[in-house]
Amino acid sequence: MDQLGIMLAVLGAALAAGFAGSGSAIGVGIAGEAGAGIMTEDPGKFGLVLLLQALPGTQGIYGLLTAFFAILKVGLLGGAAVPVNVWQGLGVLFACLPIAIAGYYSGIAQGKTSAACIQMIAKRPEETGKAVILPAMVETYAVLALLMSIILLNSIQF
Amino acid sequence: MAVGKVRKLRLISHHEVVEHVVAVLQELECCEIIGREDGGGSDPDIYDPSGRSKAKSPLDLESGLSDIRFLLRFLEPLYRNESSPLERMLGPKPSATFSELSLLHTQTDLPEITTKARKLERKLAEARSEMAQIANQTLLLKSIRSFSHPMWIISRGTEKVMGVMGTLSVDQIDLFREEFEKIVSGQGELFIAEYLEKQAETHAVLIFSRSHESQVIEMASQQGFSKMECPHGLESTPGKEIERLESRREDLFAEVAEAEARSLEMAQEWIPSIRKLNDFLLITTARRDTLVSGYSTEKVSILRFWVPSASLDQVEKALKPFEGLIDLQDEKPEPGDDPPIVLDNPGWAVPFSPLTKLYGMPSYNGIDPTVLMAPFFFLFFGMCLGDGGYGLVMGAFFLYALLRYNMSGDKKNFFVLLLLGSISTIFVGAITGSWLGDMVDAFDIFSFVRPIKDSVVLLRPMNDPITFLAISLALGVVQILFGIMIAMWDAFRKGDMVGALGDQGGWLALIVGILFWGGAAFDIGGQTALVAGKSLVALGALTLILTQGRDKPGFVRKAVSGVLSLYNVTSYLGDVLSYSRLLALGLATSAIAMIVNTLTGLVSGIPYVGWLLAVLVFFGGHLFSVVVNVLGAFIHSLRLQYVEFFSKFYSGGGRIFSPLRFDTKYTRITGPGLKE
Repeated sequence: MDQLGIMLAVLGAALAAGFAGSGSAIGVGIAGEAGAGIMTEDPGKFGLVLLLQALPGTQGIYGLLTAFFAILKVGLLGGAAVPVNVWQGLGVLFACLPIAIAGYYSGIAQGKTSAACIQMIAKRPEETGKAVILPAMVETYAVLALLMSIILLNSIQF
Repeated sequence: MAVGKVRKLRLISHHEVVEHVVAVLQELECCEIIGREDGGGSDPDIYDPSGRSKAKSPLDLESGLSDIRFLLRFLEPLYRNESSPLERMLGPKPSATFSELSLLHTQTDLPEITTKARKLERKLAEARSEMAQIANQTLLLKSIRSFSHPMWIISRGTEKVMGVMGTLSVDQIDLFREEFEKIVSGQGELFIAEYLEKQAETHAVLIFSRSHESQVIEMASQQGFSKMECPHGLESTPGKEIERLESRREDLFAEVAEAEARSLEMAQEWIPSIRKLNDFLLITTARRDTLVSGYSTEKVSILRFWVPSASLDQVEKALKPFEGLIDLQDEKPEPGDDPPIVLDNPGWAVPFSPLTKLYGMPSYNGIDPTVLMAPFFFLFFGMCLGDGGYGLVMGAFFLYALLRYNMSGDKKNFFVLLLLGSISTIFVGAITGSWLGDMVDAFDIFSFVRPIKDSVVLLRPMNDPITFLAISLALGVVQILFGIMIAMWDAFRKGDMVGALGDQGGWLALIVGILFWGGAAFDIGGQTALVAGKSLVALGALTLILTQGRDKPGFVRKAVSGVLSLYNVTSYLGDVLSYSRLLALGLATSAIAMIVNTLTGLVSGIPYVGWLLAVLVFFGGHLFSVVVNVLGAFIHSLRLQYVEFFSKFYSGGGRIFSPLRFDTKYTRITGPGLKE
């Protein structure tokens, strides 16, 4: 039983990295499909397309970040061993949920927006600035979730 | 703050000098031509009443440009240039004078080059298509290689005998042979190509007397035989035909190689000139379009254009030599006019002007938000990136690029903007103690700089995120209140007192009141703050209730709209919370950097190759991190300007000033715009 706390924290880290990463993977995939379609017409757009395709990738990074924070918190990344009881482990698990959930869904939504914006720059390459801002609107909610996860992780006392 | 003033001018010039005048205006690059309301342009007589420049008739220009487009499309991908891609992207374009280009234009026989290139292109296309055809035919012939009769039996046949080729299901072969024999009764031949055990279908050739044609064809289609057309030109037996095609293919191969080599040569020889000619024709076309855009009488042409007030002297000075043959007049702007927008910013804010252009230019009577936004963007970018090490890396890169390549225009502005961003990043990194994350603390070799690093640290967001969050939200409140005040000032300026006091004043009082009230709840400011807060809230809310329904008819609807408008307080709350991204992104940068450092520490423990892996992880990881975070910091600090700040006072809708200029793609024109 004395390991349960730490394992709950590990579950939290796994969910954060896993779900946010999946969301990003799907999002980047959706945007990439649209990008490949555009590049069959105009391979010269590679740079712009790559930029827009990369935008839904941040959720994965946020998930990874939270996961690292979580396992750092319970002393799995070197340093002195931290005794973690079940309640603290549950706390870490719950703290990981905002970015796990919001990261997954916002990654997909942002991928769709990016794909639409890739279509937009195919027709109007001069509007790249606006095309970059629209997917960033979606990312806001991943940023807020990341913020909450970090604040929650930070507030759990050991 | 306000956009630059522009003047509307009318220039009447004698036909004799009009071409020179347009060339001078183009060289000045500060006059935006106003086209004729009826469109103009379709009447070539207006352009050249004296018939002097036949060489540049619209048709010549168009065909020249279309030739050049073809040449660039065909030859440019083959052109090898020694300069690096970065150099070509950032560096200055090669310079040339207009007379040089003009001379080049007369000396170059563009139609001849084009004909040559078109021939080469056609040759290549034909050879490649024939090679594809040969590949298909060879494939087919190989499948019936053991067929011993010449192919003409199938393609032509004789008077009495004909052949049909096709595919047949392997299971059907025996049955098919039986049926076939029944019809032809010895006077025909069935050839079945060899097949492997796994194959479901094989090729077959039927040879039979023409008198049996209809019977055989009917039987064959019933038995699942599908006919194939025999390619034309195949005469001899498959074996010999394969040999013939093979040798033809080799010839074609040589032909293609030769044509490719010649195209390559042509590209090396002509692309630099073609690029220059492209620019020359673009310049001339712009001039011609300008000439036909004006009205014209028997003796004079009338051009109308916008000039920024600041450049007026310059225009007058440049037109001095034509005195007597021209007349420059001020024209009164009419209500329907759509003056172009010139951003007129002080030097320090100019690098930020691409951000305004990105959103959309302000309207002519509107506010230019560049100066107002610049300090916030500067600070927010630094907070979002928030790492001294990354700031240094990024600053070094952009400084190098600026010094190395002689950039101009918005490209330069953008690079300077990011350089400024790196300065604020270094500053924020220093006071939060983040240098490539926790690098200084993580690796003992940096222990000697630890005291220096720690001496300037004011705040550690990793340990105390709430304070940093409070700072972020406070900055949000400041920027939003600032935005409301700008809108208020703008309304005053336009004489809209009710709007200024009702819309903006009401919200200002309400929000400041809420802040005081909230402050008092946390024991800041004491009783005075509480009273002040409550009264401001009451004043603000009352103002809003009284004014926000003023467009609605009837007392009840006015009152309902007024009360409902208070609900908008949630949108202000949302706006302020949105600034929490300053903390989140700043933390993310430090944390990703910290992860890279931790991983570096972990892999360095691996025996033998640990040091190599550590170096790879450290540099690769931080490089990735700096790219991702710079992108994120830029986008998100921009978003705060566009969505949270601009929405308070700014509406775009202006038209960017696009003067008649040397709008070239490959060359930079220096010197006068006329032939010397």
